[in-house]
Amino acid sequence: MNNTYIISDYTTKLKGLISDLEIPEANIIGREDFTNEQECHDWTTKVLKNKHIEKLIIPLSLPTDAPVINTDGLIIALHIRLNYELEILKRLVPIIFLSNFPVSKIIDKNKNVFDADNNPQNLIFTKGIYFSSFDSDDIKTTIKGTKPCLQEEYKKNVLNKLNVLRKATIGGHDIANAWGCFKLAQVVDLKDKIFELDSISKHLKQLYAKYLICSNESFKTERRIDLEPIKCAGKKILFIDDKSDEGWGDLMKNIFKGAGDNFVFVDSAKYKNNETKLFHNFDGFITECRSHIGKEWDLIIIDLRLNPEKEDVDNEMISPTEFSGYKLIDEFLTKNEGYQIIVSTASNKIWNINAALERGASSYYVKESPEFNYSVSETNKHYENFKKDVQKCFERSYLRDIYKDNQQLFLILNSISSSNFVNEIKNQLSLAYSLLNDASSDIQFAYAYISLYMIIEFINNEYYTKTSDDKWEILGIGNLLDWKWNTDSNTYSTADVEVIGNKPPEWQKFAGIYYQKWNMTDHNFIQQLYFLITKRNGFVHGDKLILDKQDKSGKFLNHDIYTNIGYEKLFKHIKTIIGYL
Amino acid sequence: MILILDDTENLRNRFDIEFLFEGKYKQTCQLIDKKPYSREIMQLAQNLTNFKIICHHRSLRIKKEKGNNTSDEDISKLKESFIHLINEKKIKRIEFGRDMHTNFSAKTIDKKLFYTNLKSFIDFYISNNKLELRILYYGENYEEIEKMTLIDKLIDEVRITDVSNFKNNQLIHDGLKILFPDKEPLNIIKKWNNKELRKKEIIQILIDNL
Repeated sequence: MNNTYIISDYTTKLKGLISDLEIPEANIIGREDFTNEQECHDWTTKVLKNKHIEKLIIPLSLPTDAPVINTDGLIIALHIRLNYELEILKRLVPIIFLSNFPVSKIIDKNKNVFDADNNPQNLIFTKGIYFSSFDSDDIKTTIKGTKPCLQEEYKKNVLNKLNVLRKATIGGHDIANAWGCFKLAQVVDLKDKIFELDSISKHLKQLYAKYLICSNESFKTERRIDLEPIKCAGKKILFIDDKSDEGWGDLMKNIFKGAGDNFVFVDSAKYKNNETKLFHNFDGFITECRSHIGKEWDLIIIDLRLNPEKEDVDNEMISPTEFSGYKLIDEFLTKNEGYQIIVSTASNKIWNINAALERGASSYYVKESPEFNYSVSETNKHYENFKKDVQKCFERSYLRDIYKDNQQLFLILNSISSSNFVNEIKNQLSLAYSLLNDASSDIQFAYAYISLYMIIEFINNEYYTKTSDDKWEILGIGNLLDWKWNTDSNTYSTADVEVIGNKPPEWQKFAGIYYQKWNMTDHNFIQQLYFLITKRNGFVHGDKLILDKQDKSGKFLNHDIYTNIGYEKLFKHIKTIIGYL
Repeated sequence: MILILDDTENLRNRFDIEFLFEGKYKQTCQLIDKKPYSREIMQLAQNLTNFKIICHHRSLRIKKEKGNNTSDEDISKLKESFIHLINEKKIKRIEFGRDMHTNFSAKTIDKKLFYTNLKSFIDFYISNNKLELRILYYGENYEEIEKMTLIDKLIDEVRITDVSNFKNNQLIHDGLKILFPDKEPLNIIKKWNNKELRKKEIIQILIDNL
């Protein structure tokens, strides 16, 4: 009996038995009362982790002097069999249940009492489970005949025979949150840290979660170090999730640790009841989320259903546009279409995600759900995709500034007039932005550039008229002079010679407006504009000599027309020009 | 009248309790499934004697009146005095909650178990005008479970008592009365003695007759 242990509640009934069985004092495990599954899990971990137990005796009804007979011993055994914090061999310790009744009577008489979610009675028919009466000779005989279920039989002869279901009384949101958070933590090497959080572990210590974890052995054992953490130094990231206080805030802060204090999450705990973790002030939470609208975020991650009590209801169809997260996305994008938003959700319903994408979210991240017990390598792929999406958002965060500047330009233009000319510029600004927003290929970026360039032609067309003597008159000012670059002085100058005949180049027409109408003197500005217009010409005319022009170090000077960089350079000039109108 | 206070969101979706809103159940059981305002709690307190039993969620959240300066502390005190009053009036009270430890003596019960057995509990109350809490805790076949409990104790006694002393053991007598209601316990014991049955054989007879 050296390595045979017994769970005892020190009743007279068991004391005598322990003495008859000669079980050493050290092998008596004092039974504790549990108020929930988490406590039972922790207790089984504590008592089994550092002991070498070869056989374990558990009275089926606990306490043994309970006023009404029960089968609580089965629950303890189930927690042991599914305790992923223990090595498999410890989990599979042979268990001898003590009961005055044979199995057939236990099943028959308790059939209406067994928990319909955990179905502990199924454990009785798994390998490594034995029954004995309280008769010491019976127990001794049973102990002699016990054999542990082998590690390789664990799945087939234990797990596959159990039937542990998600408790109908627990909203799917809670367990899915903990599950998704832990799974992601696993592939960024933060699982130990996240598991320490009570808000996560309490859900993962439920029999349902334990059953799934044990069914996917790599869930807890596989270790991984993220060799390429997300590069986010200097990036401003906002994270909005009703579960930020329940693991996700800590997890995301670690994932984006490169951003330091520029990673911000709305602390949902402030608005929740400490005990129930339900919102007592959801409006306050949303108000704080709204206070971040308009700030310069490079990336915003928003959970779709921020109020699960109302939005995560089984069998209730809620339009995705009704979700509080969707509404928040809409408000952010209404303020600035250029915000890069990743919508996160524990929902696998594609129509919910699609609604957010159609509204303008850049991408999505589906929190893993226990319904899909993916392997760690699958989770890893999932995370790698998330990282790519994040990088793409960072790369595209220039859209936020361009959109914001566009809005400013609209205000300036509106203050000028509502003429066709002004409207044309406004439309062209919108069109160019839209093309830039949709651009993903070289050619698309170039089209956005050309579209933006058109504003210069609009201005030239507005301010010039061809005179009867074949000259170009700047309205109300005089004729266009022949502006040329003087390499000695590095300035543009003119010998007061007027341009006659054929259409002069657009840069020269614009130089006329700049110097003659607006009396501006920044020669560098016009020189840069000349390069920008030349770049456009090179692309439109397919002039390789222009497009592939290199500087002394071999750097292509005009290839940025194929990226947002070229657009941003031209946009900087356009902003200045509109300011002069 | 039975009173249930449970403001859990979507209660009707989560538990099969539609029956509470119909006919005889509606007349017998009042369910308050919204967080009550403090004045509603005070009204309930004034009419406590209308209720035979009050079953409430362990949190028993109470809403502050709009425009009233009631503090959180006042709300907490109101909750305490409401519970105190129920106890003082000796009205039965049951606390339930998600994953709450089910304890018959402490009158605490897991919420799922509570709602699972609620209908049978009310049915019994309607038919017998008696609150049978064992139905809430052990279900409709509570008598079966209780019988098993007594037999369990009987078997324990048989195991630890010398056969010659069976006739003097009240627990054995009580158990036998339950298991064999039509027979006299002493006659049964005599019969066992005459046959010189061993304890194991006696226990087997008891189990076979369960």
